[in-house]
Amino acid sequence: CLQVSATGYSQRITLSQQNAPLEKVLKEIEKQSGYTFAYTGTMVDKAKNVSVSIVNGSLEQALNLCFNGQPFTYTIIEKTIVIKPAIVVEAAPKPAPPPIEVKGVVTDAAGKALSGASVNLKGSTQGTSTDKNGNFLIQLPEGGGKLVISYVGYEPYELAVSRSGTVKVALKLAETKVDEVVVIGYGTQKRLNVTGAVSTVSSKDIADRPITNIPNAIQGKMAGVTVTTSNGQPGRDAGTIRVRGIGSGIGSGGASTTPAVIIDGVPGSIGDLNPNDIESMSVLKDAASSAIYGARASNGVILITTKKGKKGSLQMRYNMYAGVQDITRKPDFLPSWQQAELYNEARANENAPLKWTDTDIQLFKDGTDKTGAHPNTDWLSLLYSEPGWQQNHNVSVSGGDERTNYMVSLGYFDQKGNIQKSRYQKFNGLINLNSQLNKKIGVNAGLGFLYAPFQEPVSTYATSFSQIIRMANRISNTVPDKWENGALGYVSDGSAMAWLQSPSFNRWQNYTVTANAGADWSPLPGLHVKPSFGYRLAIGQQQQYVSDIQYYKGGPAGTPLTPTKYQGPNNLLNATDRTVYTLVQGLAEYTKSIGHHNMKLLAGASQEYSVYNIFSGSRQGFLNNSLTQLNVAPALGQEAKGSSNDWALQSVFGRFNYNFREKYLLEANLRFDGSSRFAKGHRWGKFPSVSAGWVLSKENFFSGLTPAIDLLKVRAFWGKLGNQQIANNYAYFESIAGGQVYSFNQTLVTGVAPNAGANPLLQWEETESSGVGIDAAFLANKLTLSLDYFERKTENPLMRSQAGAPYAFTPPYVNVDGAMTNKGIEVSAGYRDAIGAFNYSVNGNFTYIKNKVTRLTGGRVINDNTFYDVGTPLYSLYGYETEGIYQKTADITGTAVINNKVSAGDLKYKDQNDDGKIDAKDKVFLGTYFPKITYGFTLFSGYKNFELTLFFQGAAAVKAMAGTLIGSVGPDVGKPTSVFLDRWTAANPSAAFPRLWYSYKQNDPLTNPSSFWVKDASYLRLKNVMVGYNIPQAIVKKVGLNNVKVYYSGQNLLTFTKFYKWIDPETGSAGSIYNYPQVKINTFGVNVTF
Amino acid sequence: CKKDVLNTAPLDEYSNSSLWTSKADANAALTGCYSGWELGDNILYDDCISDNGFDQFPWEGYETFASGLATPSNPGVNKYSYTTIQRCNWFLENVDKVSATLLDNTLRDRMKGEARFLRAYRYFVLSQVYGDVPLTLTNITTAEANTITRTPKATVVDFVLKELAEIAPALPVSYSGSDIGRITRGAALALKARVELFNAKYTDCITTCQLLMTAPFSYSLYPNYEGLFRPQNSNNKEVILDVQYLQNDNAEWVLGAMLPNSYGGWSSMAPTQSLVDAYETKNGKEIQNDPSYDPLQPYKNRDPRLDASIIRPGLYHNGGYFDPLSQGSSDLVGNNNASPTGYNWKKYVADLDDYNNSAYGTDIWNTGGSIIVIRYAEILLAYAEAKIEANQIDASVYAAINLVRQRPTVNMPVVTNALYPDQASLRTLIRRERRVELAGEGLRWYDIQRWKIGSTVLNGNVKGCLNGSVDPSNGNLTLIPNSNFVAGSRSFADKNYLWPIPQKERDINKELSQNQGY
Repeated sequence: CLQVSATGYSQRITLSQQNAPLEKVLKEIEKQSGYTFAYTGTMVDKAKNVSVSIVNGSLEQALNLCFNGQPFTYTIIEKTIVIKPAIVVEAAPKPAPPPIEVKGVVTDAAGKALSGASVNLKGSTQGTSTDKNGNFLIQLPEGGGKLVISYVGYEPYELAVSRSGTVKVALKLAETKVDEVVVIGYGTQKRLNVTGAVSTVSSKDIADRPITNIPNAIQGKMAGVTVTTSNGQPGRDAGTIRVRGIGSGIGSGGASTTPAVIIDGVPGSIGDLNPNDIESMSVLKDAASSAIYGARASNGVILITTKKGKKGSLQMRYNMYAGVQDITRKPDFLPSWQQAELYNEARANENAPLKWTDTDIQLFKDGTDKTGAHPNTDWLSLLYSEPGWQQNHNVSVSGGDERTNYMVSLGYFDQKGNIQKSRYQKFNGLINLNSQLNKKIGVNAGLGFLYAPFQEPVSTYATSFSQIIRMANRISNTVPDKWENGALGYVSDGSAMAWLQSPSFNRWQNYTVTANAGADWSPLPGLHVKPSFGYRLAIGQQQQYVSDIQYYKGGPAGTPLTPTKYQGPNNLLNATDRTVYTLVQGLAEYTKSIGHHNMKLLAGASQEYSVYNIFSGSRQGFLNNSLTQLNVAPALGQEAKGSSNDWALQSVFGRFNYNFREKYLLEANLRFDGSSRFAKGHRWGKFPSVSAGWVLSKENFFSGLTPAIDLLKVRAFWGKLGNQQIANNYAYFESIAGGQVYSFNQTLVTGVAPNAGANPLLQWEETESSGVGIDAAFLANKLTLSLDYFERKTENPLMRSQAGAPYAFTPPYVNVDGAMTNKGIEVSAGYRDAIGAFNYSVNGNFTYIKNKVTRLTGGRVINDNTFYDVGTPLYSLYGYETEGIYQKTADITGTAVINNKVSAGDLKYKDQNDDGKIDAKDKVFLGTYFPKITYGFTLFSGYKNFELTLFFQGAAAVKAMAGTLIGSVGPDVGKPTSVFLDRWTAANPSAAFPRLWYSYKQNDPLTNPSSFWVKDASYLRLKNVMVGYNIPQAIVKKVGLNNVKVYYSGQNLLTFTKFYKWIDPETGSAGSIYNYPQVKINTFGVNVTF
Repeated sequence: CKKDVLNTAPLDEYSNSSLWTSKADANAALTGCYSGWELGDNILYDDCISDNGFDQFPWEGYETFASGLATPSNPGVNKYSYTTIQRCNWFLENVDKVSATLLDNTLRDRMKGEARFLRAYRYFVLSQVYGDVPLTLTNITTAEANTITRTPKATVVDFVLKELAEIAPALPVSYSGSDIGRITRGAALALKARVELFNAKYTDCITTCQLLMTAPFSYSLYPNYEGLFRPQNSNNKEVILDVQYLQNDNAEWVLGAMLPNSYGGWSSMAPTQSLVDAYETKNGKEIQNDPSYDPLQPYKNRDPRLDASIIRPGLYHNGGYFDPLSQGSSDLVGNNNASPTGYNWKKYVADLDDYNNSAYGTDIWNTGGSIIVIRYAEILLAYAEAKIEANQIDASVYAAINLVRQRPTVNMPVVTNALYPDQASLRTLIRRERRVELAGEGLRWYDIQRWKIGSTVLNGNVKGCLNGSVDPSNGNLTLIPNSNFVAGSRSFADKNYLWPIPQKERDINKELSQNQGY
C-alpha cells in the first residue's frame, strides 16, 4: 500500500460514487469523518476521477480507495489529512541469477528525469548516480538489499531489491514549509495558511545536542527570538528569552518581559520538560498569531507539543549522551608578586604606606617561602576543580492501534558542575494517551512527572553559593589556601575554600506533576467541542545547612593553632513551597467550506487560578556538624516563616479564519481577559488582532514563474496585546508587613509597618503591534526565504514607580505615562543541495531590533550605570565620556576634574556642559547592552553514513561594561587581571590603562562608570558541532536493532569577539564575579531505535 | 457559584482596613516605628568621619567622606532616609482609629509621644548632616515625594524642639519590665538639650539640662566607666536613650566589624593617634604640658578612660597583650583586617566573654547588648558647655565637669576656677573633655561641624601609633621615636560641613537643591 502514517480513527464511512471528481469525494469524506483535507489546489487538478463504493468502512479504507492510482498520497496529522505527491513505483524486479543487476530510471512526480540522483546500497559504500536521462545501473551482491535513492529537494526513497530487474522510481518533493502543519494557539494550521509570524523548531533541530534546557535549544534557531545566557551553573543555566525585543518593563520591577509558555495547551514552566519529549515548538511572535492568548502574549508565546503515540507497531528508542563541561573563560588574574606590586603602586599613588616590602615581592616571585606567608594561590583552579561530568538517558516507547495511541517516555539527566557539590539531576516521566471512543468522541490525557534534585555549596558568610564564586574571584593570590601549620588562609569574610570544603550544603528537591485531560466531541460534521482541564503541582523542598567555621592563626609548621576568626553559628533552614495551578477551558471549533470559501470559527473560555505558599523553619547552634535535622538543635533562636499568594485570570476568546482557494487568507482574533491583579473596574482588557495573506504563487498570472519561484506569499497584521505579569499579585492593595521586630529589655516584640504603596487605578499595559512579511521558495524548494518587518509599541507600561526617599515605602506599581517602540527586521533563509552522495544545507536567520523609549513623563530614569530616557533604548549604559588619560600633570590644568585628587594617569572626563566641573550632569548615553542584531546559522553536510553539523550563533551592535570581572587592586581582596599591566606610570605615560587606585575612585568603573570601560561585546560563537555516524544496517540488523547512530557533540567550542578575552561576551554587561561562568560541553552520544 | 475568583486579596499582609482594631494593633504599629529607628552601627562607625577614627575599607564609604572626596554620586555614607519618619507619620495618622474604649487616652498620648520622638530624632539627624531637608509630617504620594522641596534647617530644628517640648509631659520618667527601652521623658528632654546645644540655643539648653539634673529624674553616672558599655549593664542609671538589641532576633553585628583581626574582627573602625593624644595625663594635664609624659611610653599614667576605651599596643585584653607591632602577630599594622593605626576600640568589647554563647550573644557578630545614644555624662557636659558659651561661668560648670572627671573608676584631678579661669580656657577644656568622654560614640563629627574646626582636624595625614615592639610576656613597649604609622591622608573643604544630597535623590526629584560646593 501507499505510505500511510495515520493516527487511529474509527469513523465509519459510507460512500458510493461513480467517476466523481476527487475533490467532491473528499468533501464527502470530510463531512462524514470530521477530518479536514489540506492540499494545494493545483495538485487536485491532476487528480483522476474516482469510482468508489463502500459501506460503513473505515476512513483508512475509504481513503485508500480514493487514492488508489492517484499521483499523490496522504498523511494524517492530528485531524488533518494532508495530501502530497505520491511516489510511483512500477515494475517489480524480475528473478535473475546473482549477482543482481538493477537498472532503473529516477524521475520526479511529473515523470521528468532527475539527473545526478544518488543511488546507494544501504549500509555499504556501494553506490552510483543517475545520468542526464535519469538512468542508473547498479550491481548488488547476492541476496540483494535496500537501495536508497535520493535527490536534493525530494524525499529519499528506499527500495528493497532481491532480484535483478528494472525499476522506475518517482521521487516526491520533500515536505516543504508549504505542506508543514504548524501548531498555533488552540489548534494547528497549515503553514501555507498562516498569516502571522510563527517560528518553529522541531525535534530534529535539537536532536544530538547536549541541551540542558529549552532556552538553549532555541538560541540562534529562530529569527526574532533572542536568548542570552550568562550562567553555567547546573540547574541555573537557563537563558532569558526575548521575542522581538524588550516589550515591557521600563525600569526595575516592571512587568515580565518573558514570553508565555504553553505546554500541550496548559500554561507551564519551560524547566519542567525533558527536551527529548518535545515534538515541536512554535514561537508566536506577532500580535496576529498570539492575540488569542491576549493578556499573557505581549512578549510572545512559546507553544510546546510533546511527542504522541502513532498508530503502528510498537516503537522503542533509547538515546544517551555523556560528557564533560568546563568553564569557557575565567579572569586571567596576575600572579601574587604582581598583585602585591600593583597594590603597592596604588598605595604609592595615594601617598599611603606600602603594604609589601621588596623582600615580600621577591618571596612571592620565587616561591621559596613555604610557611604560607608568600604563596601564589590560584583560587580559581582550586574552585573549578571538578571534571563536570554529565550524562543523559532517555527511553521512549510508543505505539497504538486503530483506536488508541500511547507514548511513554522516561528520562534521566545528571549534570555535575566544575565546582564541588554543584549538581543538578532530572528524572522525567511522561505518558501521553489518546483514544477515539467512537466516531464522535475522542479523549486524550497526558501525565508528566519531574523530580529534580539540585544542590550547591553555600558560604558561611552571607549564606549563598554566589558568595563562594565571588570570594574566589576576589581573594588575592597573596593569601594562602593553607598555612604550613595547617591553618586555613582567610580574609574578613572568610575563605572560599573553607566554605566549599565545610559540611555546608544547599539542597533542593523539586517535584512537579503536570496533568491534562481533554475530550473532542463532534456532534455535527465540522463542529468540535473540546473541553479540557489542566493541573500543575510544583513542590520544592529545601534543606540548607550552614556549618560554622573556626579559623586559626597561620604560620610556619609548629605554630600553635590559636583560634582567631569564628564564623557561625551553624544553622539549618528547611523550607517547603508549593504552587498549585488549575486551568479549566472549553473550546468550540466549526469548520465549513462553501465552494472555495473555507471558513473556521473558534470560540473559547478559560479560567486559571494559581496559589503559592511557602513554609520554612530554621534552628541554629548544632553541637557539631554531623547531624542536620531541626530537632537536633536547640529551640533558642529558632525561626518559623510562612507566606502565600494567589492570582486568577478569566478569559473569553474567539478566532475567525477565512480563505478563498487558499489564495486569499484572513484571520481575526479577539480576546477578553480579566486579571485578579487589578481592581474591579480596571480588571478586564480587550485584545483584538487581524491579519491577512495573499498567496501570489497561486494566481494564474504566476504560473509561468512556477519552476523558479515555487511559493510567494505576502502577509500583514495588526493587533493589540496586554501584559499584567507584575511580581506583586496585590498591587492595588496597600500592604502592611509584619515581622518588624524590636526588643525592649531583652524581650522581643514584633510589629507591623507599611511596606508597599497601593495603586487602585492600576490596569493593563498595552502593546500595539503591526507588520508585514513575505514567505517565498525558489528552485524547486531548494531555497526558502522569509522576511518580516514589525513595529511594537508599548503604551503606559506597568512598573514600580520611583520615589524620592521622603516617600519611604516601596513605591506602588503604576502605568507609567510613557511609551516604547521596538522596530525590527527578521530574515530567515535556507538552501540545500547535493553533489553526488554529498548533500548539504545552510540555514540562517538574522534579526535587527531597534528599541527606543518614545515618551516618558517625568524625565530620565537613572539606575546607577544604566538609564533610559526619551530617544534612547531601554537598556542603555550611562556614564562619563572619557577623553583619554592625563599623561602629565600639566595636562590637568584648566580641565574640569571630578575631585581634587585627580593627577597624571587619571582618566580625563569630558565636561559636557562646560560648567567647569565633572558631575552627574556630564553623564551621557554610552550604548545599549541589549544586542540590536542577533543571528544564527547552521551548516549541515552529509556523506553516506556520515553527517556533520556546525551551528554558529552571534550577536552584534551590543556594548558591555566590564564591571567587576576585570578585577581590581587590593590588599587581600581585589586582584588585577592582565589589563592592569599596561597602566600609567611616570615612566609609561602613554599607557592604555589609567594609574592604579585603591581608595581614590576617580577611575573606578563601578563608582564612576565611563566610556573607558564600555566595549563592543559583539561575538560570533560556534555554539555546536555535531559529527554523527550511522552504523551500517548490515551490522545493526545482526544484533537485532533497527538503527544506531553514534555522534560527538561539542557546545560553545569557539568564540570570536573583541571583548575582554576572559569574559564571556554572551554574558556582556550582566557579567559579574558572583556568577558561575558559561561552560563548554563535550559529549558523545548514541541513539538507538529498536 | 461561589465568589468571583478574580476577587483575590493579600493572604499574608495586613492593610489599613484590617488593622487598627485593638490596642495590640496600635502597639504593633508603634513597634514598627521602633524597628530600625537608629542603628548601633551608625553610632559606632560615625567617628570614622571624624578625627577620632579611620575606616580602612574604601567600600564602606566613611573615608570617602572623611578624606573630602565625597560627591553627590558617591557620597560615601548616606543617612538620607525617611523610613522611620514615615512609619511614625503613618502611626500618628491612624492610631486614633482605635476607639477610646480599647486604648485609653493616657496610653494613647504616651504612644503618640514615643512616635513623635522617633520622628523628631530622625529629623534631628537629617537636618544635622544635610542642613535643609524636606519636612513632611504626613504620608505622601510618590508624586509629592518626587517634587518636595527642602525646608530651611532652622524651621526643621524649631519643629524638632517644639515636638520634644510638647511630648515630654506625656512620657513617663521611667518604665519597668519589658517596657524598659521605650522613649522616656528624659530622652525627649535630653535630645532637646542636644539639639539646643548644637544650634547654639545656650540658655534653652541650660534650662533643659537643669530639668534633667533634678527630680523627678534620678540619672547618675555609672561608677565603672568600662562597665558602662558592657551588655549586662544595659539600662543602667546613666543611660537616657539607647538602641536595644536582642541576640538572634534583633541582633547587632557591628561589634565584629570593630574588633581586631586576631579576634576574627575587621578593624573597620580604628581610633587615631590624634584621639589618643587628647587624653590627659593622670595629672590632669595635656601631654605636651606634662613633663612627666614620656613619648616612648605614651600609655603610662594616662587618663584611665584611654585604656577603657581603646585597645592600644601592650594593653592586656582578651587573654593577651595586644600587639600590632611584631612580625608574626595577627594584628600587625598592615595585615589584612588589622587596624591601620595600631588601635582598636574597646568600648562595648572590654570582655569578649560577654558575647560568647551568653545571654548577650552567640558570638561577636550576633550580639544583644544595647548601644547607647544619649547618656547622662553628655548632659552634664552639654550643661557645662552651654553655660560656658553663654558666659554664665559659675561653680555649677566646674561641678558638672568634675562629676564626669571624678567618676569612681576615672578619678581624674578636679578642674577648678584657678586652673581654668576664663571662657577661652574652659572652652578648650570642655571640648577636650567631651572628645575624650564620648570618644567612639558617634558625636565627634557633630562637634567638629558646630565648632567649625574641620580645616584643622580633618586635614593632612591620619596617624597611628608608634612602631616598635611589644613584649608578649608583660606587654612592655619598646617604641621608635617619630615612627607613627600613617593610615591615610585627608583634605577638608568648607562644603564638607554638610553632606551632599545624594545624586540618586536629585535624579528622581528635580526640585531638590544641592548643598553649597557639591
